[in-house]
Amino acid sequence: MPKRKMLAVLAAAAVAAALVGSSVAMRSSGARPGSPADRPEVGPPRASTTAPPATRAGPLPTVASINLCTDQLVLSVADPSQIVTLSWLSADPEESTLADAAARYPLNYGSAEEILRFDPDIVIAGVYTNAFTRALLRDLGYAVVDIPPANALEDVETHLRQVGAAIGRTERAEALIREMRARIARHRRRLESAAPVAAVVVRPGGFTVEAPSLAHDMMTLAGLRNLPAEHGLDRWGSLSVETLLHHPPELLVVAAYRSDEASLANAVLAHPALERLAERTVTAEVPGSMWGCGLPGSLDAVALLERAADEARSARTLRTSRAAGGVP
Amino acid sequence: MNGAALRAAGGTAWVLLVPLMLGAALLSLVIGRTSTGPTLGFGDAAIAGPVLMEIRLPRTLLALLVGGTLGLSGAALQGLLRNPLAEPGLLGASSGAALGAVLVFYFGLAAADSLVLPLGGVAGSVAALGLLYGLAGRRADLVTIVLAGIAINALAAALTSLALNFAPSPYAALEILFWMLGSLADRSAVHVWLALPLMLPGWLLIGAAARGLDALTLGEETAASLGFPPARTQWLVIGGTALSVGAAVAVTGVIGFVGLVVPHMLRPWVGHHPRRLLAPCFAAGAALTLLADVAIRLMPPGPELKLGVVTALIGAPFFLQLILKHGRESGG
Amino acid sequence: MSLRLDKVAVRYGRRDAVLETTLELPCASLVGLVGPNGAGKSSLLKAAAGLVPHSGAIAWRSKPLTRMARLERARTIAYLPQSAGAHWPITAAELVALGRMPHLAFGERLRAEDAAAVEWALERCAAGRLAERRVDRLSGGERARVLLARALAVDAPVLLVDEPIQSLDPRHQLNIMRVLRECAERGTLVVAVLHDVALAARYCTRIVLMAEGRVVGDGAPEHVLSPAALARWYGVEPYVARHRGEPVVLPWRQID
Repeated sequence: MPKRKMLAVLAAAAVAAALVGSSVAMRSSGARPGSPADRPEVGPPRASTTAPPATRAGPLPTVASINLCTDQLVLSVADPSQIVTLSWLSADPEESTLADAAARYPLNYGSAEEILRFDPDIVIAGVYTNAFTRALLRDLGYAVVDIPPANALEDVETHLRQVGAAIGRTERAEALIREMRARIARHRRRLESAAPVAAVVVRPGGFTVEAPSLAHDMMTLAGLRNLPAEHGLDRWGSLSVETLLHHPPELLVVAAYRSDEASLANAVLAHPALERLAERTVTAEVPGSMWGCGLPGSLDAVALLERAADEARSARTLRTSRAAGGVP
Repeated sequence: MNGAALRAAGGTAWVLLVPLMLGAALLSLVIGRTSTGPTLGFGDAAIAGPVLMEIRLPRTLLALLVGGTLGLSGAALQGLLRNPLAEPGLLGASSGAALGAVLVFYFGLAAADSLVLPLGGVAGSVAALGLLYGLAGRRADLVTIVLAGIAINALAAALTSLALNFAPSPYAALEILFWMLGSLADRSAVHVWLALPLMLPGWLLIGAAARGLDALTLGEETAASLGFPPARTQWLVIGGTALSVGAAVAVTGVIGFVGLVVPHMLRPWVGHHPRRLLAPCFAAGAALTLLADVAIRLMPPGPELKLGVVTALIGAPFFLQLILKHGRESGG
Repeated sequence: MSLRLDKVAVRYGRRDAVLETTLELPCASLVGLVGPNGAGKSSLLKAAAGLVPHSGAIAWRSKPLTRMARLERARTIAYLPQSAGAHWPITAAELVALGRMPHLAFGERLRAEDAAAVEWALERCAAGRLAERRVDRLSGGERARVLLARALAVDAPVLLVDEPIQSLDPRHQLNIMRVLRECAERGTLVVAVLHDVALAARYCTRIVLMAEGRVVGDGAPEHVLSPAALARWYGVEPYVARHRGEPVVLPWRQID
């Protein structure tokens, strides 16, 4: 039947065209005249660094950030005139320690069309920010720098340098790093004279702090022993209440996050065993926003933890003296 | 002759469907979304080109192709299973594709390049099809196939949860979960070209099964005697669905209910013959998906709602109403 | 012109439904395939229709069915299964039109000759005025006529029907048998699996009696459906007579 043959030919032609088109499109995607060569590579997620784009000589490149942590890094490192837009999460005080500063800038919801309208020179994102958005932005010719989550305090230095290099603010980045190092040194000196305090951090959802991690480094720097990490944790650091009962801590740190909103994650914190433990242990609260991202400001959390550690130490001294002598 | 009357009614359907589809596509091209909410047009001259060609056009094309695929495969599956409650997700192609994509995340391949993600999804749907073939066998009857599909869906869901459990970080798990909800946001031309080479053969396979679907109206034995062995029709529809829906899911995540709803909307006009429903359901599925995607962009400012959520909000009440009607009619 | 079954056997797993059977069925006859339950009648019919795998060869006009293309075979042999129905609420005319599918190529619409065949088939089955009625709203007898019309619409030289008159009331039973007989008189080979011995005896031109998977009687109804045969294979004693020149064979009494 001629009709059948015609349909078959059409079908074959369509398939061929589709295959040719796909190979052409894939080869030419990302190679746009005038944009920095940004070839995606396969491999474990890592930050990609690009030199600041050779755009307007003189004034600093404009920067857009579409990730909560990179927003705050950018706020710390960039000159206010550079910042074109930040993600909406950074203006939320529950999420971000720099919410007031962030609220002064136009906010974005992370879509490529928005960024296109802001037309920055460079885009900073996290490695887990929507992969489609980042790829599309690269296709559109934008330089996108991916910053991974911080897993240690040293990572904060690396990230500050990366962001600084990307937006032409290397001196500011180095200054922040120097400041951080000084503060860290001060904390370390205190460690020499104080005995570590056994502590447990309880986060919404029944998570605690795993090692290695940024939060673990912060605890260590504040003079705390991360009890659950010492006794083994699962992959994401779920808190075993039973472990807590076997090895009771001297300090219970609660990472508060949206505590006035009802949520299952926060309901976990109301475990009866935890509540009883909290009644007889020194407790401290640290805002969740301080644990979330690796920033120079993370050291503020270390200071909070240090004070809580001091409290726990005095409670310990009181206990041992009561046990030894009698009530004064 | 009733045939003529029906052809006229089907003709009316096309007269309405084509403008609807094209109109929806036009809306999808001109309506966008910025930080301040919905916007009309393409912005100033400097960015108008990229906005239209790199952002709006691929998204519109993809909505059309994916929506059409879902409508087409829904009509084909309902014809094959002789059950108006059948859906493309039934065979496990959607959940297999989702699992494939999730595994790509788990091994860290997707973070560097978003292209690898759809490829993983396609591999997943093809693996699901292979497993279906292995479980059900070549001469399997429909009940066996449906049961195998249920088993594959359950397995894929379990493996997906397992993979999520082993995700490299909570952020990765969140990214996966959001992806699975189904979205067309920020897809580029590359995704169109990635999905199309697999969708097209899928559509053709389904088209080849069209007459067999009509023959199945009279049951499997009669269909075989009319020259359309049910096994052949079965595997054409299953293969076509797995390919086309697998490719679609791999690119957009899981968008449900379009394949269920669209044939029902068209049956009053186009009639019950499965063959006649195929092409109109493609057009209607495309139109529905385009309109749902436009509706998302019209929402007040905030993070963009997921397309899969919107189609579920439309589809689930529709599905419930269908079940109620079905139950009433069969003497409930 | 005949349908020849050569050493055809049907086996389901380990059970032999039909043992090696050789039959030559000429056109222009109404062959009644009768026998007690489990005799293998339906299986033999399905084998002829190409629905179940079988050993041996089946040929029409000396051309093996396996050598025919799918649609050519469909145009040669029309089959009406026992539990026939339509899954979608279509009209009778649309349903009958499905019988024309073996004659249409991909993408081809119904031609004038197809419409004519549909109309003719409906008329033959006295279902002409049911054409625009929805099939799911018809009575049992009406639906049976429409389904038979679908089989007739194929216009095949061989028509295989499996228990076409089960659960129909007497008027419709007679109707359907009359239609089948008329088809045979026009030149079609009609093979019908029948449970009703009386109707088989009256309408069929030839009876093939099967029991336990093999043919145990083959010939004119009066000879095959003899009291001895009925006693042996059905376990009944018949009342035998002639009425207006046609045989009357009524199972009358159970034999212990």
